[in-house]
Amino acid sequence: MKIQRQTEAGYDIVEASLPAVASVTAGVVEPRYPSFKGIMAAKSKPVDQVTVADLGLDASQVGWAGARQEITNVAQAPARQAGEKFEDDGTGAEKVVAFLENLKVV
Amino acid sequence: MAVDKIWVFAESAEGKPTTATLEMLTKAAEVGKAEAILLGPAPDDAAQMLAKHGASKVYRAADAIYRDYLTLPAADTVAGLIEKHKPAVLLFASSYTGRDLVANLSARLDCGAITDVGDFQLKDGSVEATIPALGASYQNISTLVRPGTKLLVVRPKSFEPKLNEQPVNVEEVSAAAAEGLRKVQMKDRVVVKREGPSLEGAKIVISGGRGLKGEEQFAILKELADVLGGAVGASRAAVDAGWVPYAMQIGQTGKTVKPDVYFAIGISGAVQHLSGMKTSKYIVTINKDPEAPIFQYSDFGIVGDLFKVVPQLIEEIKKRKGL
Repeated sequence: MKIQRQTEAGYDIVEASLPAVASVTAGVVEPRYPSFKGIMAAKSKPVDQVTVADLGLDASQVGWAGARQEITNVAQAPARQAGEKFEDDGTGAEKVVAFLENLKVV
Repeated sequence: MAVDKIWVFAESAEGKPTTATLEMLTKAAEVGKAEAILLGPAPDDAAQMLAKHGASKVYRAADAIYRDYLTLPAADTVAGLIEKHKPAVLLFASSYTGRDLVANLSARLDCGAITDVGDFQLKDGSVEATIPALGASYQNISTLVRPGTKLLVVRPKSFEPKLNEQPVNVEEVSAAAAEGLRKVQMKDRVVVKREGPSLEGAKIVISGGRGLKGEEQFAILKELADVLGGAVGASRAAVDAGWVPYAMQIGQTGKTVKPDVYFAIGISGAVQHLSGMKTSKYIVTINKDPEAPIFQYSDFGIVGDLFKVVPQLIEEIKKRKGL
């Protein structure tokens, strides 16, 4: 399998022997819209239902029981205070520059 | 009582340890005894750079196998080191390499892993990690329940890298060699040329969203970025509309940035976008909708037409800078 693998600097061309697992990033492919024929055909396509036992697993190995990670608490994140807000009356840009000058960015 | 070993899987880019590596080392040295794993070809002073930022020890194997074959050789070596030395925690960056490695190791060691970690501490013989949730409006605290080394993948910009000189202490480890590890081969490395500072490193980010209305209009943001020496980013709306490439996307499914100043221009402030820039030092907003949620997170906001305000802003800055 030949892959373009995204990197921080661009991308790598990578070759993997099979079997392999590939995770695909968002925005890679434009999905097709299903055709009417496709929608109708979908109704009669097989859906394989398997149980945990079918896969040779025990209930304690999957789901909450099998999780290696445990969430112990959920809390609201500290809020960020809103600052000043101005309606632009033609001087909006100047006000932004004054703000930036204060921060020594300009 | 022995001090807990906090390990960092070090990565390099452009001949230097990545910023993420140095951030993690700084935190590791605060929590316990920081040590680093450095695999693959690297400049001669790489170990020294890691020691400068808190690494009391560097486990090193320079073999090219780590560069030429992805994931499996590194996983093999790291698993061996974990078994031998049993560190309390092993930190990975939220990089492509870091994530690939952690996926492999967590399955191999059957220990699970916590990803997207913003902060962590040692507690009750395990680790307590804080993870932003729901677009960073909530925090969830998690732990790993299996015994053994705790694997954590750390969010970018979680910690401030600090100098913390340690004597250089390198332990050479034998490189992975088994033929069965050479399954994913690097054939070519393509570097996409980037103009200006990278988004992740930029101190000033000018970001545009749906309000820009089109591809050409991003040129005014580029001009603003140029006069301020910043980088241009975008919300998902602008990327999905095809106005800018995915590499510029900031948010939950894009990049996380923490500049000194973040300009949100024509961006409404959906939680998914906020999660990528909420911890910026200062947020400046320009949006014609006074009810846009982004104003609640801004330090300074202008309700107005960005197509008027931004060009004026560019002119004012040029005047101040004598350009």
